Amino acid sequence: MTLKVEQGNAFTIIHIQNDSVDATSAKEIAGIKDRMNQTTIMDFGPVMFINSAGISALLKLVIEARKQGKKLYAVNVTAHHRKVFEMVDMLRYMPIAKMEDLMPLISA
Amino acid sequence: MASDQLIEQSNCALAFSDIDIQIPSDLVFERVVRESAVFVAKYLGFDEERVGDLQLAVSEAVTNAIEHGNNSDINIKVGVKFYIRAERLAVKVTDQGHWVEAAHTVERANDDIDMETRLEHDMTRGMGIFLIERLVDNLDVKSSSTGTEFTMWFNLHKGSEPNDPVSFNIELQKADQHLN
Repeated sequence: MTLKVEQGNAFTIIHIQNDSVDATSAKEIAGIKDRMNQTTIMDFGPVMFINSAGISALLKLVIEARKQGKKLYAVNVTAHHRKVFEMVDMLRYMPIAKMEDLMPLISA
Repeated sequence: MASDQLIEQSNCALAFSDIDIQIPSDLVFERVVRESAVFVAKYLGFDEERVGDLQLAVSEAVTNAIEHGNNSDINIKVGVKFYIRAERLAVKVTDQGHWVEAAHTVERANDDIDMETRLEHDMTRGMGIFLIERLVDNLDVKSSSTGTEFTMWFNLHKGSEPNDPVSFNIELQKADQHLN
């Protein structure tokens, strides 16, 4: 399992546990669209590498979140992945935040 | 000894070596090339961001060569050559297919379409090329009856010096002749 899902009343935190987000993890990412909550946080903590297969899966997920009226945030994103997310317009749908700034949302 | 220490020691001398890797056309082996790219980039002293650029671009090119060039036929090899120079690096990925022009056509056709529309219509083919074009300093594609050569240039710092693909191409040809 490459994802660990932590759920509260109004939030979901998706911890990516692999160092790569690629074709393998893409299938799992696609499978969590029904587990998102009002506030959903993607934690990229251990991720060292993301390729186009992973990006496509993430983009589909974030667009689905927007359709469902849910807010999606990314935390622990490296500078390089921030750059790649900007290239593909990801940040329009999934802004990067600091975990401490999201605490009021998940503890409400 | 840790690989980072080896790289640090190697940086004492200028590198003028070329590295040649052949992998079977199975995505499992893409990671071999990806990790090699990181090692080479660190050897040359690329900063973290450029290492990431190189790693992603090489990964996408090799993935395309495996899937679209060689149709994931494990009996056909994908060739990867790293041409190491003092402050720049070329990576040539070769396969036996003719996928690049089709992928470029898809990419160009999608240029004016935003990402949301692409995804809604499952138009994500060409995403790898889209990323490569934005990460490398220069790109050269040659297609012939025997396959496709996809060469990417990376400067130590992106855009740090004017690119001269013509003269560097001559260097690559000389290096190829030497290797053969």
